[in-house]
Amino acid sequence: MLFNYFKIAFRNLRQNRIFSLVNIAGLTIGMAATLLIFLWVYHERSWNKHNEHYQDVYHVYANRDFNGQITSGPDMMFPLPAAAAASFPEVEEAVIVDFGGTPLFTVGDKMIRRQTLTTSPEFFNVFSAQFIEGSAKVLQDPDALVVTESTAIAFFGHTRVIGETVKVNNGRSATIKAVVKDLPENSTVRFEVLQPFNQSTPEYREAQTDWVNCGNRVFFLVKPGANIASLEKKTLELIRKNASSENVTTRGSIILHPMSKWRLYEEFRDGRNTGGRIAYVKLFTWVAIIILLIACVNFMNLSTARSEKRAKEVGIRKTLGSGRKQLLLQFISESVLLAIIAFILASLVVWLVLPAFGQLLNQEINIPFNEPSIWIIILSIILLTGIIAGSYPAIYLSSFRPVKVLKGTFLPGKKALLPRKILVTAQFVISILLISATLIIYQQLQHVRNRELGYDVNNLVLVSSSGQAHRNLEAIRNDLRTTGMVESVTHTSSAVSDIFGFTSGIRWPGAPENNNLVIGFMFAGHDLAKTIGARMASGQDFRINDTNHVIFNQEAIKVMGIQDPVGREIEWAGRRRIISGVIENMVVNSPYTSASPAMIVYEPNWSNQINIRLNQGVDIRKALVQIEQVFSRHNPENPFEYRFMDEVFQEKFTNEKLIGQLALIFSALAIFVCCLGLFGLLAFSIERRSKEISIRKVLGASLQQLLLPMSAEFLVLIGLAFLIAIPAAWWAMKEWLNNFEYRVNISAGVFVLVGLIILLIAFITISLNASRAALSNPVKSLRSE
Amino acid sequence: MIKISNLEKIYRTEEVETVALNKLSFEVKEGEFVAVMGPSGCGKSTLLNILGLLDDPDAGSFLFNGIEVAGFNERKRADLRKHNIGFVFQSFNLIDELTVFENVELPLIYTGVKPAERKKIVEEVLDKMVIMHRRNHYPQQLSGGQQQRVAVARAVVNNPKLILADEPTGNLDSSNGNEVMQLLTDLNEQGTTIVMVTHSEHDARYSHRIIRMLDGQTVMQNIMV
Repeated sequence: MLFNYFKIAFRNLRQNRIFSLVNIAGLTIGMAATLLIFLWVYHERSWNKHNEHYQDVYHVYANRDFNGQITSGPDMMFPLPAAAAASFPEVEEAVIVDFGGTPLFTVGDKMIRRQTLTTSPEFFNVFSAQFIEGSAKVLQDPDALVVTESTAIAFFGHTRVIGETVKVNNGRSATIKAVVKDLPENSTVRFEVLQPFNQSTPEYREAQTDWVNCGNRVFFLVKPGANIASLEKKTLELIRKNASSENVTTRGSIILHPMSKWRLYEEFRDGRNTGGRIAYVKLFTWVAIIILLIACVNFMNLSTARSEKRAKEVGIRKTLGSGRKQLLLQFISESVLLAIIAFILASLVVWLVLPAFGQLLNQEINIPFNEPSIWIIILSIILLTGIIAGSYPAIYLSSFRPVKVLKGTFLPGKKALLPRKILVTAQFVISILLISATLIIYQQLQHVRNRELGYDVNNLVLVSSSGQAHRNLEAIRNDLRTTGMVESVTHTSSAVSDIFGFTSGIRWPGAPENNNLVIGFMFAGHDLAKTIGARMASGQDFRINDTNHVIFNQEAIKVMGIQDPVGREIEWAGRRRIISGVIENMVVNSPYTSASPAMIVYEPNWSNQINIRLNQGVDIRKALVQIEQVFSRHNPENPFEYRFMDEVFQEKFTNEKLIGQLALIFSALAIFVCCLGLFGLLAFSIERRSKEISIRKVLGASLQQLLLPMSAEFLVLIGLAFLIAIPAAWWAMKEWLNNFEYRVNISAGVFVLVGLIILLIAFITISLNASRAALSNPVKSLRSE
Repeated sequence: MIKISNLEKIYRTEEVETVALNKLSFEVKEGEFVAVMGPSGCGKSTLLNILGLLDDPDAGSFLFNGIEVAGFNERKRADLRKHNIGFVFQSFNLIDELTVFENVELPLIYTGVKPAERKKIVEEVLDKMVIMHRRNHYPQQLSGGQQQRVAVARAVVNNPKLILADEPTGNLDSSNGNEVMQLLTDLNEQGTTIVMVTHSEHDARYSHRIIRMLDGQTVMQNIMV
């Protein structure tokens, strides 16, 4: 029986080529989009799962009160893990890990930077790794290094490297004691080199009793079933008990953030874990479902539209004794067959575009063939698509009464006209929503990118500094100037688009008694404003030997309430400092938030970045060659590593840019599938109306007069879809924009544009079809009548 | 085999009410060949649809082999139909996407006959209808007469007790028409009961009895000698 159904289905597909092509193309695109999104979602959900203790590892976060604003941060105090492991029986292991860096490793004449974490010996009790050489115990040795397989190969060309020594940051020598397999790309705590804290340094000894300053991350491995809420409270109590005085951490609270949420629920707001990437994962899961549904709707529309062709078959089958169930099964089998064909094609499409998709996401997306769940999901996609797409046509077609069909009194398609109109309208509602969302995401991105930053990111080169570069900074500065390509040079503790740290210890005359002001700060050298292209609102830029001078931004001065600030004194880090000037507010950290208070401290000895402002109109490539020559002369022990400030700034938009690109791709696909459906429907509608078109032509109708009645029906539906979709799009995007302090206003212009785009797309689709019919020879269709 | 009493069928639209069958009563015995004649709109096709369990009467009784079937639901009707009734239509009503063999095979699929047996039965019937050489052709590739022979083959493949023929020669020339009528006569001689709706006096002469209808009622019955 099933064979018979499939046989008929195949012959139907062959005979109705336009129908088959539209349906298979639609379903293929729908499934390919669904599969791609599914693979991405699967990848996102797979993060950290390779860890043996995936369910029981927690990252310790502190909610701190900064100027009345709760900020959740992972920075914790050094003695916490050991004390927690000793005090709380539910904490099996606790480990401290720094935030990582990329120190320079020298092996012979090779100079290589590698992502490095510094940690305590318990690291491998909490995080899983596969040892190729050595064991977890080596972390007890302060001079030991654990390297990954690819790092060992990069250093020495092979992995038998136990006992080899490596120079770290052109200073101490460390010995490789263990080699582990490269950590999966989907690991949050990832390293290429792992080193223990150096227990012999005075800083280490000092940190062991410092319960106030926080500069590392702490992870707990807890016993299964432990009461996490109670552990959070106990941890806070432990910190309060040990801290010498009340501070922002003791005034706050503790959150234990489970490993299963590190990737997708990474955002905190007002002291609560509110979500994060999961929003996009959910959003695109819906987008996938919607695209597939649009393709299913196409199938439903086209199948019911061509019901007149199938009606006779239904009538005959019923006459010969087929029950309704058998007919339902037949039509569902047909749609499942179509779904299988579409799936095979979709798999091919996915296989072809997966590398490009991975590149777009900047992630390595693989098809997890060895995962049994993937096969269940694939089967579900095929069956669900087949059943959803086939259900309505099956119910509709199998309901035909043989008497009417065989007698010829059956009115083809009329009965299904309303549901079909509803489905077409729904498709366009979704398309309009997607186009609106895409346009508004792009508008928001452009709005933020074009924001007045307070500094000039163009023609600004950042070169990584080093001890040697810093010592030779004056020579570097002079040599750079003599190239004639460089306008000015300064050093900073971080790129100016990122704040270096936060401090709460500023004192100034007239400050309120309970002054809790926490502001961001960074260190810089002279010519700061000149080099970064910032404007001084009052006072002046840092000059040579401006030791003990600071510059505040306008927001800081506003919050501190200092009148005529230039020349006034403040106290910070045990020193009195003079306010040199007030700089206009600059966009630092998130470009989506409004300006926050910031202080720039003149500090000749702290340079991580050397900022080089190039002269206007210089040839960048030539300038870089010259800059590299200067650095290789004065900083030969370190590789020349540079970035352009505009690129550094663009990195802040990675997430939103990605969302914008994904939204653009998937809305384009959704609209294309919609248009395929519209194209197919029109083809049938025109086929049915060929006699009418011919008579109109014979009676002298012009091309426009022919196109208008054919287009009108669909244009009305599109208009209706527009009216439904616009308020929904406005509401949804307003909600999305509420995530950003600095955001664009949704203007009516966007929706006018969306309307024009949809009309244009629909009109092209309609015209392509209708004009073909309108231009055909009327004699042909009248004769065939 | 068939006994209908006071059968009524009324078609209603918003403005018009058309009586298709008006308290119609007659009987068809097993092995009979009955022709139903009458002008267009007299209710012949409605009667045939009700006899074929494709339509419901609004009132009256319909006994099929002594069982009241007038109130059967769709599933029961389909079941009774596939085991007992074969149809031959004026416009052949073959499925265009199936070959001759597959069209004839269809009723056997619905009655659950095994593939090997199906093949044997279909080949026998096609042989009998002299259409075996066209077994792999599609309906559009056949002449009208050949298509009707396929339709007859399909109607008899399940060995039905009753064949309902709705103007079986209406779309055929006289030579093909005679051929089809001869096939039906042969089937009747082998024991199949036949009820045939026709406009053709010539075709009606093949039957044992002619029921003449007007405005949904029997107006005359002719026994053929």
